[in-house]
Amino acid sequence: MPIAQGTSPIIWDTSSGSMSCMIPCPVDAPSERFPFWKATASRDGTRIAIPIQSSPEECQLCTWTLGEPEPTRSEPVLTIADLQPIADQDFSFLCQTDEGWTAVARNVPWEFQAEFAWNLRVSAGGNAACETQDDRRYTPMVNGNVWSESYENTYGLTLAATGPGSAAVVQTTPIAEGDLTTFLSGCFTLGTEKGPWSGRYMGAFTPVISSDGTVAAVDARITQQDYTIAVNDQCWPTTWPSVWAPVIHPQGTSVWAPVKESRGWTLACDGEVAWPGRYTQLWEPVFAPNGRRIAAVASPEFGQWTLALDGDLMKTRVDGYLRKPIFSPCGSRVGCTGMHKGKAVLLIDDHPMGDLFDKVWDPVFSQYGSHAAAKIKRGPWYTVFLDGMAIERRFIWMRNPAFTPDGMHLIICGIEKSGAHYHYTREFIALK
Amino acid sequence: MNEADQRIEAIHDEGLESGLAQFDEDRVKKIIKKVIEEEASPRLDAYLSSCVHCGLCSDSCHYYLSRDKDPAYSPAGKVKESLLPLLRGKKITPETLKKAAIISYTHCNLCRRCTMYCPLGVDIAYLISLVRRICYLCGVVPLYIQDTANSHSATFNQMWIKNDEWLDCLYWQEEEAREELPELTIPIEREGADVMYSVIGPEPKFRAQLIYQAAVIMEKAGINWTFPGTRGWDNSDMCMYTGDYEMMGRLKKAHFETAMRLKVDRIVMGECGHAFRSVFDTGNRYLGWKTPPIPVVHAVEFYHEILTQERITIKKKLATPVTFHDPCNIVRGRGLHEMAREVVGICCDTFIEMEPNREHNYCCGAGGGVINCGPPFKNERVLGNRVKAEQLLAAKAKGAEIVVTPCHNCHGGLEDIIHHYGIDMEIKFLSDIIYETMEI
Amino acid sequence: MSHTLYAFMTGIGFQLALMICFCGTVLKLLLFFKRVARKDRAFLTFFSFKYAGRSLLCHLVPFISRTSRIHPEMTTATAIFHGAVLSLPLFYSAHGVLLADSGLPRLPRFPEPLSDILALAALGALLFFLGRRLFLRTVRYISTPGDHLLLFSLIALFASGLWARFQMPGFPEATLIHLMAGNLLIASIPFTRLSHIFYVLLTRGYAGSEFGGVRMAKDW
Repeated sequence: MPIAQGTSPIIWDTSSGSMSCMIPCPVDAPSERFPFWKATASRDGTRIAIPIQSSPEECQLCTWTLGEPEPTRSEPVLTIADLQPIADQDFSFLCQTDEGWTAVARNVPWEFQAEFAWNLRVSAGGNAACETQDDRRYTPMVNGNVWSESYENTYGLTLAATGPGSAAVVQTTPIAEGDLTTFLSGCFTLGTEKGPWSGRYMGAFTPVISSDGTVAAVDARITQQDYTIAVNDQCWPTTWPSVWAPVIHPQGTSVWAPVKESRGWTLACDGEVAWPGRYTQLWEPVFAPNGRRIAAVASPEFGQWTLALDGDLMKTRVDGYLRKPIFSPCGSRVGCTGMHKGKAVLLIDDHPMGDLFDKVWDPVFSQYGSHAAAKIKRGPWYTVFLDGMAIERRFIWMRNPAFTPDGMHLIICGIEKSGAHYHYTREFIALK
Repeated sequence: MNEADQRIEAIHDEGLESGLAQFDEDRVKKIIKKVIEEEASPRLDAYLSSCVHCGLCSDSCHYYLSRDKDPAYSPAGKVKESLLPLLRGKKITPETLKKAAIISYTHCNLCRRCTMYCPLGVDIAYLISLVRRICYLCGVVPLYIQDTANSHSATFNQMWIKNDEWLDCLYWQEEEAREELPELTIPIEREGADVMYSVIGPEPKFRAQLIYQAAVIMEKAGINWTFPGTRGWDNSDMCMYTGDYEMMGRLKKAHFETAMRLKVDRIVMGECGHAFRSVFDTGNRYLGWKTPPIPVVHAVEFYHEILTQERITIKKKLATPVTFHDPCNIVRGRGLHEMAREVVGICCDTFIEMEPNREHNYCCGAGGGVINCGPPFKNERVLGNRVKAEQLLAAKAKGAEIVVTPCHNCHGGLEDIIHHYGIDMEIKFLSDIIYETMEI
Repeated sequence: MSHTLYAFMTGIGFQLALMICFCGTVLKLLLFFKRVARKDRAFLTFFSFKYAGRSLLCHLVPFISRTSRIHPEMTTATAIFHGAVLSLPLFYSAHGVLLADSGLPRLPRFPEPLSDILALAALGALLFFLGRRLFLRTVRYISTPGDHLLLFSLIALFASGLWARFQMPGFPEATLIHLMAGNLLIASIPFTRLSHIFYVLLTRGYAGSEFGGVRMAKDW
């Protein structure tokens, strides 16, 4: 079952109140140098992992678990990168040893060793993938298995949210420096774990894949001056002077993308213009999880930004920028973050909320949209902005808040300074 | 045929020739019509109909001055020979297009000096950019710069650097720097950092020591900073100069998106001029942003800030006399000339001015994508900037041994000039002299 | 015949020239701003009266801008010519009489010697411009037949005006030439290079706005 954005798995949704553990500050490290920015909490919030430099050459992953006094430490490695949670309590990361790079998912290192690995992706369904390079050949890996083919280059590996599918832009032919002919002939396409598409494009940019992995699409450059969207190896029949990254309907029934017409940007669906409006800019389209609404960031006038919801512009305008919209799991509410007059702003259903924070992260909504929360930063401190009010806490690090599936609690996980040491806390906040 | 025409005739460039092999007059005319009707600002008409052909722009152009005042190299002369035949010529031939391409891509650095010298404020750089746009849409672009634009399309950086190579360079420089400062880290993908530091492709490719130096300066200044680990780390933009504005927009979106994703307060850019123009002025506007959505700070401003706030201290000033070359894109493009001089003053004992300077500086001859057009045009570029050599020689005569300039293109351009004219001077970035003189 | 022509040139012809000039200018500006709104929003966004004014001032007042300082002879000639061509139509006494006869309010009038000196100096400046066009390689290279025609029209205007002023032999014909040249030049303002009279506010103004307001640099 897909895990809705902003909610948390149900199995540990039984606790209430808060739990915390102490993270002793290493004696030999000044506290401000403790790399909290690298910290990652597990999805259920019961564990926190931080890669810590154990010597100038080596580092270890230290993992603290609520209720346990001592952290566990991984074997020393040269580098730990892309640390992120996987499943409920585990972590995945890329690590470099003397033998090369590998990935570790759910505490198990993959068998391969590559010269380089990067872009670790973890899906809500618990799959992990990364891009690798060995002997100048580029091969993505999913759950420890290499793709069927390797390439001249890969880019933008992405995983299906729940299914096993994966896709990346791949370069199939080498291009020597100064070789315009080969470049013009088309050296890029979309690759999946099964192999590359047959179509070759002059450029391909942002691959997307449906949650079950059955539909993949990419914004492609067909000639030097023509762009279109390619879906499952078929290009839309129309081309435009420019397009932006597509979005796939949650049911996989259609593909939408912003396209540039002579009068401005608009949204196209399956190759045909679908919105009547023309804008100075239009990008970042997002579907509601139920597929009934689509929102995108639009600039109706030079220097002005708003959200367009199903083709209608919202009233609020900001002069800085807006980021990709976020729908509530039920699709009834939409929010996004941005910047207005040099200050961070949070828009929830066309209502701006600013002046209360210096930075704000993407909002999360409860299952039925009755509550909205976002991680914010005020001065040096992180806290949570819940339904228009900031919770009075001073975390030096925190992860994004999450609602329990029943919508009764908000879970916040963060690190606070306490004397010479730090405390990692997981807290359930009861909602009215 | 005048000398300039003869030189143009003699040029053989694969990129131009392959584009001209597909020449179709009707298509070219349609492209021109589309550019003029749909894209060009009405300023075009205002400029062309109000220019009184007084020739006052001529003395602003280093090509014109260096080429013994050959009128074909005057700004108005270049417009006459490139834009006007495309707009007003009844017949457009491959030769017309080739000439327009060579003039627009390689005889003008888009330095905007002439706008200051034209009493009517005609923006010649804009007019020449329009010619480039038309040439790009016709597929007639010099090979080397088109190849760089292709690299942007393929890798989102100008040097065909793949993602692992970028990351590998950062790990390598961190390892190197730790031998000097064991605590140093080069933070990659640090979400919420104050500063995202962005550079151009040549830094990881050829000048990795600049990344090292930047890391040391950041570390000692106590800056909460980060490098992106993904596409978007490169702020350069040759597509802006080929006329491929769609790709320019794509590059700038990736750059700003990366900064937004990392939730940084501002982007600090390395010492590059054209990238600053693209990020601060041209690319953001193309996308619909009035000003950069994340504040952009050029290295000069940043160094000025940390030095005047005494976040780093200078141990011993550089004793060697230095002069300073003003990069067009951050001086006429941002007015950073006084800050740069203050930084030089803090780090160096003796500073010798070149004349003219500040907003009136002569371009290095490499800017505007001209150096990126490669070897077929190098001779023209170097001979077309004799005045810069004369400036350098005058500074040298006053004792300057080092020319400091905070721009990669200027380094390339000045290196060629110094080599060609046999001037015994060393070229340094500001970060070179800061690193050399700071307390570590 | 010549009397009728004179009456036409100082009456309907003059009014027509003014009307064409006015309507043409308004039309050109309307079209400019309509197209700017559609294709160049940055122009409207960044145009700043403060920086446009600063730039215009620094380029209009002689010897402030570097370009005017490195070409002192051109700066002097341009200042004299523009001073004359903008002031004499309004403040030369004979023009004042004609304007007052047309029902316009009475304007101050230059003393005759001042008008004479100004007109002579302007004619000298025009001959200097002609010399540049003919003998300076750079200016000759970019000069078009239209530029020469315009220059000759202006020379004709000033020469015939002086001819008529001093009532030299054939001055009635010179007067007609003067009136015709004047009316034609007024009517042609929006459609020829003379449009710089109003476009300069936008072109120099915009350059000043970008340099001053966005790029924080001087542009003179």
